[in-house]
Amino acid sequence: MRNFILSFALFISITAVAESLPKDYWYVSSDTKVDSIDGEICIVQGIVADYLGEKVSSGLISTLDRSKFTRTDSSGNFRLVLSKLDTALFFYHEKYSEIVCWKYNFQGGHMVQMHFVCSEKLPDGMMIMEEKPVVYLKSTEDIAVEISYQNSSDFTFTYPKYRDMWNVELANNQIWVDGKQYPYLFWEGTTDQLNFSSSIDDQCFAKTDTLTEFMANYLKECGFNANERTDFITYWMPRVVQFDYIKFELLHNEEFNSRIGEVNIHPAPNNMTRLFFIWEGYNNDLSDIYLGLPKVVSATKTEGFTYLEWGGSEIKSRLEN
Amino acid sequence: MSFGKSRLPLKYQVVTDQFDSNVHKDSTLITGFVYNDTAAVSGAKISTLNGKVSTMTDETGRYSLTISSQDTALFMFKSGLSEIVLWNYSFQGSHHVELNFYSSYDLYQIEVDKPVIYMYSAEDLKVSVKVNFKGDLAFVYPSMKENYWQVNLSDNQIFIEQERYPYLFWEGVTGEIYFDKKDEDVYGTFVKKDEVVEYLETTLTELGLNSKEKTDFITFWAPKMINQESYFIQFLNQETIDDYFGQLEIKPSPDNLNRIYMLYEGFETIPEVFKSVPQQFEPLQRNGFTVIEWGGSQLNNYSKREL
Repeated sequence: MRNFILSFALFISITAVAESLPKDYWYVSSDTKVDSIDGEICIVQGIVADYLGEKVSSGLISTLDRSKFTRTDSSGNFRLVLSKLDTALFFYHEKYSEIVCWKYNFQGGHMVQMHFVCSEKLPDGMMIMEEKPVVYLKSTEDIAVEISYQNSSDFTFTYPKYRDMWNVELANNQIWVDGKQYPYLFWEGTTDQLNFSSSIDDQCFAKTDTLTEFMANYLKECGFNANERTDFITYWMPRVVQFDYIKFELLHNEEFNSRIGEVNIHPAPNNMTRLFFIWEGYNNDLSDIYLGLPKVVSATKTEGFTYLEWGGSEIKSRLEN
Repeated sequence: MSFGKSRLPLKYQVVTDQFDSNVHKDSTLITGFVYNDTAAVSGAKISTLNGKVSTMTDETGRYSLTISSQDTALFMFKSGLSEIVLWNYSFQGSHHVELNFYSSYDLYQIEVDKPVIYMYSAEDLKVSVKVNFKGDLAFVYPSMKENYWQVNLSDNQIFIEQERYPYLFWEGVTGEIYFDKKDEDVYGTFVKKDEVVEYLETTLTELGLNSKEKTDFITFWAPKMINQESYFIQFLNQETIDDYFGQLEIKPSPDNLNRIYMLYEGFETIPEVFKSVPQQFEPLQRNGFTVIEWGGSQLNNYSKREL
C-alpha cells in the first residue's frame, strides 16, 4: 500500500518543459562496499536499455581513454572492472545516442550498479543525400576519357547530363563534353545504405570553429588545389558552422569505393583521389569519447592524367538536427 | 529538401501528465493548444509519427487526441510554421497529458545562399572588398581582416595573404524578401523542373557568364530545384539587389560590377491568378576591372498565402 501511494503521488502534476524532458541518461541504483573486492578496484555492473525497456546488446561501455571497456551481452548486461582512480564512463552504440557519465566517484572495494537508458537514433533505411560529388580532371596530354559509376541508379542530378557514362574530351587541361567546356563534372544521389562506420574508432569529433582551417590544410595535403579546396570548404563549412561540434569521417579511395560505389575510368588515371565527407552536427561536446582530428594523408603526385573527386553526406540521426 | 538555416527553436511544453481513470489502460489522452508568436493556431495537424492517429486544432487552437501508450513521439505541422516534434516521450496508460506547442512563422529567416564573387583584371591590382550586408553574415571564406577582404589581383587571380582563391564567398541571413512586381504582375518565368537546367544555361549565357561561373551557379542551384513540378524564377536588377542585400563596397571602383541574384519558388501547380512578365537580359560588360557576384534565395511568398 505504501508503494502504491508513493507511485500515485509521482503521477500527479509532473510538469516539464522541452529542455528538461527525459533525455538519454545514466543512474546508479546502488553503490556498496564489498569486502571481497580489492581496495584498488571498483566493479561496475548494470543494464543498458532503451526507453521502452528493450535491452540493448553489443553496446560499448568504456572509460574515456578506452583502457578498460566491455560490451553488453544479449540481455543488455555488462560488468567492468575499473580503477578507483577512474571518474568517467561512456556508452556507445551505432544505433543509439551516446551517453557519458562524466563524473562519478568510483571508490576502491566498491560494487556499483550503474544503468544506462538510451534512445534509438533514426532507423536504418532513411534516405540520405550524397551531395555534390564533383569530379575534376587534368591531363598533360589531350585524351578521351570514359567515366561510369556503379551507383549511377541512385543519381538524382548530374551536370553535364550523365547518360550511362560521361564521355569527356580533355583538351588543354579542360573538360569538354558534347562540344561544351565545363570546369568539373557533377553528380548527386540518394542512398539508404550510408551511415557512419560501425566502429567508434573511425569517427572524428571536433569543434567546428577550428575545422575550416584544418580542412584547408588537410585537403592541400591530399593534393587538392586552390579551386578544389575552396569549392569543398564553401560548400560544406557554412552548414557545419551552424553547429558547435561535428562528428565526421573522411573516406578515402578504397573506402569511398566500398561505401559509396566504384568508379570505372578509361584510361586508368595516373593519380586518383576520391574523398567523401560524412558528418553530423552536435551541440554538445563528446570529443572525449571520439577521436580528435584525423591524421593528414599526404598524396604524392605523378605526371599524366589526374582524377580528383569529392562529395559528402550530412547525417541527421537525431531530432535536434 | 531544405538546407541550412532551418534550425528554428523547437518548443513545446508538457503542462501536466497525470493519472486519469477515465482513460483506457493502454491509451494516453493528449489535449492542448497550438500557438504561434502572437495567437492560437487553427488547422494545425497533431499526429503520431506514423500518421496513424492524427487530429487538427479548432478555431481556438485546441486539439484532443487519444494515442496508444506505446507511442513515443508526436508532431505538430502547419504549412508556414516551424514544425515541432515531441520525441521520446514516455506516454503512460490511463494518463492525461496536457501538451502545448509554441511555433513561429518561418517568414523572418531568409537565407541568402552562396554569393560568390569573382574578380578579373588585366592589370595587377590591390583591392579591398566589403560586404555591407543588411543582415547577419553567417559564413565567409576566406576569413576577412576587420570586416573586409584585402585582395591582390594578380594574373587575373585572387590572392589573399599569398594563398590563391578562385572566388570570395559569403553567406547571410536576412529578413523577408519578395519577388519584384510590376503592379500585380510578377517579373520572371515559370519553368518546368525538367527544363530548369536548360533555362539557366540559356539565361546565364545571355548574361555573358563564362563556363566556370555558369557551372558553379547551375550545380549549386539546379540540384535544389528537382522536387517540385515547376519553379518560378526571377533575376533581380542591380538596384533591388543593393536595396535588399546592401552594397558591395569595392576599392578601387571596378569598371564593371555585376551582381546576379536569382529568387525562386517551387510550385506543384501554377496558380491561376499568377501573372508573370518575362524578363529581358543584356550581356554584362566584362572589360577592364570586372567583378561578378552571384547568389540567390529560395522564397515561399506564395505557399505562405495558404495560411
